[in-house]
Order: sequence, then C-alpha cells, then structure tokens
Amino acid sequence: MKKALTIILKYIIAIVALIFLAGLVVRIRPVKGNLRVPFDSRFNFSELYDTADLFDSTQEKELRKEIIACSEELEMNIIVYINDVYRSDEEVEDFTANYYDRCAGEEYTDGVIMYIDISSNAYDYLSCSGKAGIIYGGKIEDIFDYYAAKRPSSQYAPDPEKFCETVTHFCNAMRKFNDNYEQADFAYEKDEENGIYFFNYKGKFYVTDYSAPGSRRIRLECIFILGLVLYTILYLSIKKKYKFKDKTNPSIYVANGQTNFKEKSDTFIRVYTTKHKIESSSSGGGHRSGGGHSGGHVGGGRHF
Amino acid sequence: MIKEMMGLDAAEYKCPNCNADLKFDPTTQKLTCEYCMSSFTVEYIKSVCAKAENSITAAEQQAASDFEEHTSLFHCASCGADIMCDDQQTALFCYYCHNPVILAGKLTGEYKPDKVIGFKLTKEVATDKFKDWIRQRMFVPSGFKSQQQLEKITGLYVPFWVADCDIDADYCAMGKKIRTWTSGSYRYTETKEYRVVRKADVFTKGIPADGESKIDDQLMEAIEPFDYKELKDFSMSYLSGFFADKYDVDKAGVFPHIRDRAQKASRNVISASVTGYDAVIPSVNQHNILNTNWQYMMLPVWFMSYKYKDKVYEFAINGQTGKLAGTPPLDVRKLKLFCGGISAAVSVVLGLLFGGFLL
Repeated sequence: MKKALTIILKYIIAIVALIFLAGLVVRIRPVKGNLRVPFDSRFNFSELYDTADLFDSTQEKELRKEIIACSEELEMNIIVYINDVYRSDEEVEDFTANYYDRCAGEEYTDGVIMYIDISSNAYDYLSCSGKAGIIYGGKIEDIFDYYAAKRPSSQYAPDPEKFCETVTHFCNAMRKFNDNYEQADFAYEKDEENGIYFFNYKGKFYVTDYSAPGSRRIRLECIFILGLVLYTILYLSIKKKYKFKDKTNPSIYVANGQTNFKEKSDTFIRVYTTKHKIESSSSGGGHRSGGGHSGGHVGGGRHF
Repeated sequence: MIKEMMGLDAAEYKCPNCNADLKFDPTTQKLTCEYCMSSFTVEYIKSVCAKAENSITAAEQQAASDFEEHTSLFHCASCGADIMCDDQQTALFCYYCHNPVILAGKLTGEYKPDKVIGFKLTKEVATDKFKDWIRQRMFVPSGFKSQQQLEKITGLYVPFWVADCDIDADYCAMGKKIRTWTSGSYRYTETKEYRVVRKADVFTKGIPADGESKIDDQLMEAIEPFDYKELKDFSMSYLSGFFADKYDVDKAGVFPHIRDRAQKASRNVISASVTGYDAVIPSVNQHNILNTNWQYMMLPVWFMSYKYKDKVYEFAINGQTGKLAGTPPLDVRKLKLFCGGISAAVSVVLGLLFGGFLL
C-alpha cells in the first residue's frame, strides 16, 4: 500500500514537472506572424447601422455618440447592427463576421460587431475580431447573460426606447468585460473554421495563423504525458520479463493408460427453450452545416 | 466397532501418504492424518500394512554402511546449508551463498538416497547455456555476467522426494449444451442439461519435490521433468566431482506440495474427459489420494545463485536434459535509463513534429 502510494506520488510529481517543462519549452520559440491590425484613427469605423429603422434620429445620434465613446475608451471598433430581416442562425453568423470585415475594409482589425435581431427569429450574435477575440472570445456566454438583462423579448413588438437601453447596456458590457480581462500568456481563442489564433503573449495581442503558445503548450503536455505513458509501458513490459514464470504442468506425471474410469456417464436430464424479442435499433440525427465567413472571428449568439 | 477401534493403538499405523501417525476419528469412523488431512477406512489401512515389507536385505544394509563411511558433511555457518560430498573431495564454498563451509562430520544412513540420475551435461555446456540465456537479458547487473560469476556454477545433486500417487477421483457436474437460432423477431435459446459423472482411479508416477528448503520449489519445478528411465541405484561414485545437498524437508513436509500437484493432474484427466459441452458446472470435484509410494533420490542440477541488493537470485539447469530456469536480477537503474532515453527521444521527435517547432 505504502509502495503504491509512493509510486502514485512520484507520477504526480512527474506530471507536474512535465507540465512545467512544457511551459518552459514553449517560451524558447518566439511568437511570429502577427496578422492583427491595431486600432488607430485609420481603422476607426465604429457605427450604428439601424437597417430596421427602429430608432428616430435623436435616438440614433445619442447611441452613435455612446458607441464611439465606448470605442475610443476600449481602443477597438464597435459596430451595432439592428436587423429585422429573417436569417437563419448560420446565415447570421456568416453575415455578421463578413459585414464587420466589409466595414473595416481589412481583416483582423480590433473590434466587435453586435447583431441585434428584432425579427421574430431574434437571434442576437456577437462577433469579435483582433484583440477583441482574446478579450471577449472566452466570455461570450457571460456577456450574453449580462446583456440579456436589458434585452427585450421577441414576443413583444420592438420598443425603440427599450432597445436604446439595450445598446447602451451592450456598450457597458463591453466596458465591464474589458475591465475584467486578465492577461495570461497561455490563454488563447481559436477561429476553428479558419485556423486563426487570438492570444495575448507577454502583454501584446496577437492574431496569427501560426499556433498560439497556449495551444503548443497543450500539445507539448500531451506529448510529454505520452512519453511518460511510453516510459511506463516499456518499464513494466521489460520488468515483466525479469519475473519467474516457468511452470511444469503436472499432467505429464499421469501414468499413461493406467487411468481406470469406474463410472463415466453423461445422462440427459432436461431441455428447455427461452425466447427473447430482438430489439430493433434505429438511429437518426441531423447535421449542422454553415457557410464560410471571412477569417479571424470568434463569436457566439443567443435567441431572445 | 467403536470400542474395538478405541482400544487400538492407532499410532502404530502410519499415513500411507506422508508417513505421519494416524489417529482414529470416532465421528467419521476413519483413521485420519492430522498432518496431511488424509482419511482412510480401517480395513484399507490394515490391507496396506499387510502388504508392507519390513525386511531389509543384506545388500541394502551394505549400501547404507558404505554411505555412512564415505560421505563428508560440510556445514555453511552463514546460510545453514548442509553439503555433502564423497570423502575424496572437500567443499570449500557454499553453493548457495558462496561463503566458506566447515567440515561437520559424517552422515547417517537415513540420508542415503535410494536412486540417482547422473549428470549428463558438462559444466562447459551448462555455462554456454547460461551465457545464451543471459545474452537475451540486457538489464541484469554487470556482475551477473562476469567470468567470476560463471565460475560459481556448481554441479549439485539435489535431494528429491519422488512420489507415485493412487488417486480416487469423484466428479459430478451439470453439463449444458446450448443452441440458439432466430425466428421472426425472436431469438430462441435451447438448453439441454446433462448429469455428468466421472469416477476414476488415477495414477500419477514420479511427481518430484525437492527436500531442500533453501532452493526455491518453483525453480526446481521449472526444470522438470527428469527422465526416470535413467534412474540408477545410488552409489557413492556418482558424487565424485559434484556436491550433494542433504535434505532438510522430510516426506511429510513435501506432501502438501505433492498432493496439490497430483490433484491438479487428476483434475486435468477428468476435465479432459468432459467434452462437448458449452458450460460445465461441477457440484462434486474430489480427488482423494489413497496411497503414496515414495522414493528418495538425488537428481542432477547445475546451480548458481547471485546475491544482489540483499536478495538471492537462483538459476538452475537440469543436469540431465539441459532445461534451464531462473530469475534474472534486474538492474533497475539501467532499465530506467533505457526507458527514459527511449521516451525522451520519442517525445523530442513528436515535439518537433507536432509541438509547433517546425511550423
């Protein structure tokens, strides 16, 4: 028991050491290939697009002012798109990312686009680009939880006043989650479809199609753990060969032809039959497909 | 009957299996051996005793006398081994622990073996076999492969108790033959049950058990079998150039081991006769040893031991057939380095390929 505990403890220490080593090894290789286009006056295109004509001009003006103020404060573009045309969820996701990049005229700029859907489908979607990918990418659900407090339900006719509050509240959400962001060298977000990584390494935001230090660390940890498993398998399999295992079957000592069966009978007793219904199994399911959108976005949405 | 048996001095009767005293058990009305747990009817024991020959021939008396006069016993003060050899040679070192031994005197006739199988394998052949065996094992300590160690291979006559057992096998089981088929949306299973009975007299011949407590039983079992066709009456000439061990475990001591092996052999015989069933559930599976005939013999073994980290590792070669067995010592440090090296190399290659270093 004590020996087993010692072995378990050694393995725990080895795993911790390997995880630490993986972190060290990752730091050896410099980060390269930053595609990110940082926020500056050239790439400042924050805007409110009210395609549903929900707000009057005064409301629009106020909201635009709020969006730009928030954008300058957070040093990233903020686009709010109000929609009343039906689109499927997949279409919303593709449209949002593409619309943002069309406004920017370039990929990988710092910013977010909030698609607020006042149609009956009401699928709101937040897409993040550039440094926003790492700040908000892992918090989309939390952001929507916060945002939902001021987001009117699609069951009622859209009330412009309430949606003004929604947009303002969204800007506050951006501020709040930006303030709460904690930099971590090995944290990263990934646009799975396009293989784009978002991360903040040593205080600098990166958007790259090379692997992120965090993803490389995970891969290295897996490789090191695989090495440990290989070590264990090798060690045990070789050690097993150093155990004594030969044995002679005592049947060789039975005197040939001298076994005398005094009774050797196989008497039939009974027969019975059981039956079971064969359960037919059917499988079904569906699949989800989505069209392509421009690269370098992470995001998420929710129905209201 | 009970009174008659109670009056009988049951201790006069010896257990046919292990030679211990038998006692009458009033509950079962049988003579039982408290040592090996065998039990016999009074009639059976009386018939066995009637057949026993008590006379010793003059030739046998002469052989015992020669044995007493021409054997020397050496004692190892370190591990307690008793080594015997003929009076023409002197044992200097213990075959087991390699410490010096001292002359301890002569042996009495009771240690004279009945039979012996002479060595057929020379020391050179035994050494070559050992070298071949060790070549396949990379991780033994360097000292285990050294010339000095090879020179420690000792030709040793190991004392064996060899038993022939008469076994009464009683087996009863439920045998099942199962057939399945599908009809419509149902799967049918037909089970035919049979009462399987086997009662047999099984004889085992020549199950050996070494009478030396120091040598691992499993090791000696692993180099079996010996070819008993080459058994000869014991003569002092066989000891010339070799050493022999004095037994320190008597018949009663080895009987449990013999009984287990004999019963296992008997069970195998019975199992082999029960065929054609998909499932067999035994309800009775008894294999009682009714009688055991013993022989005390010396069997040839090339023996080597190696002490590594306070543990003795034994290695043996059947001196007649050349079959070898042993537990190789493991140099854990060497093994860890090897496994660590391989794992590290694989990890580096995988790290370069998939860890993002070549991208």
